[in-house]
Amino acid sequence: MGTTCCCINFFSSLETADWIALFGVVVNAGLAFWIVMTIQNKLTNKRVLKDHFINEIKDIRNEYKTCLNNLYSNNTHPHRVIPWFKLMNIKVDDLMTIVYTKYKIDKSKLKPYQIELPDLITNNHDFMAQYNSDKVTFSEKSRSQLIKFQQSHNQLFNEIIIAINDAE
Amino acid sequence: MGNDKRLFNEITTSTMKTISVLEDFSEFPALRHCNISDESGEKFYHNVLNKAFKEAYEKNEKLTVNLDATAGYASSFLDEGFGNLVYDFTLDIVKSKIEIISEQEPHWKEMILNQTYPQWEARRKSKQQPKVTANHEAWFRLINNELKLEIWERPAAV
Repeated sequence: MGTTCCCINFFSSLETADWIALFGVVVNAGLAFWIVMTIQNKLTNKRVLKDHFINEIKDIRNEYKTCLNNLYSNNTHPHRVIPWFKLMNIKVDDLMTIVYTKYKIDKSKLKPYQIELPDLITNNHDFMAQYNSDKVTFSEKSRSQLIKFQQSHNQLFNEIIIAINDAE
Repeated sequence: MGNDKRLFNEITTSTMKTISVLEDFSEFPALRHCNISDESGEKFYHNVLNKAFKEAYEKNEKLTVNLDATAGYASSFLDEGFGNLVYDFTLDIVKSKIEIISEQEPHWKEMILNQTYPQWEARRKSKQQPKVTANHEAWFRLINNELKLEIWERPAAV
């Protein structure tokens, strides 16, 4: 009873200027809440999307890594190599097209993996000589060519990840 | 308007022949030569592309070659297949009469146009005969604007 009386007294004692100030405080608080929620949601959405594309790039890097490891360990059927590269090329093209549209990142960035690497393997002497065998065994010379390729192009994946992370 | 479109389509299709690697050759194209792989670029050229192109050339049609929907390509397969065509029919004629479709892996079309064509034209001019690794039936070659059917090369004796 006493509290209600106190509130009524408080509101009845306010003048016009006080009402305007109070209204301003309420509007500002609402606006601040709305801005924080909207921006936060947008930032969260952006981050989620970036994380998703970064994970996709990491998956692709791992798939190439596994493929090369299988080749080094003489564990690959030669007939499976060409279809595998086609599948990867389509996958990489799709991803890089989206990444380009979204973040303006050069979509030809992984071309060495899409063109040079399959060329290096399918034109390799050991690969051609054993094309009709069950497994292909690479000589030391061939292996070192593949390792050289991997060493000089491995950073491409990290460059894309950094570019996605830094994009606006 | 609809009739015009239909007429246009009829004219276009009547002057264009299409072959597809998948339907006319193999789902699994392999490497360059017959002596290292069965479904080779060499075999594709001799069994499919040479004849199809000769027919299109005679009828003054355009030949569309669809590369899509196979299990994939090695660059050597396409280089051998389309390179031999340039060697036998010259670059200008091949360029004007062939249309390549490669929607799934567009870089193959770029490679054929920008690398294979000029390299094999240079090879043709310097008379560096293509390597043949299997016995093929006679195939067509344009000599002084005249189509000739011969066995132009035989596999080198081992």
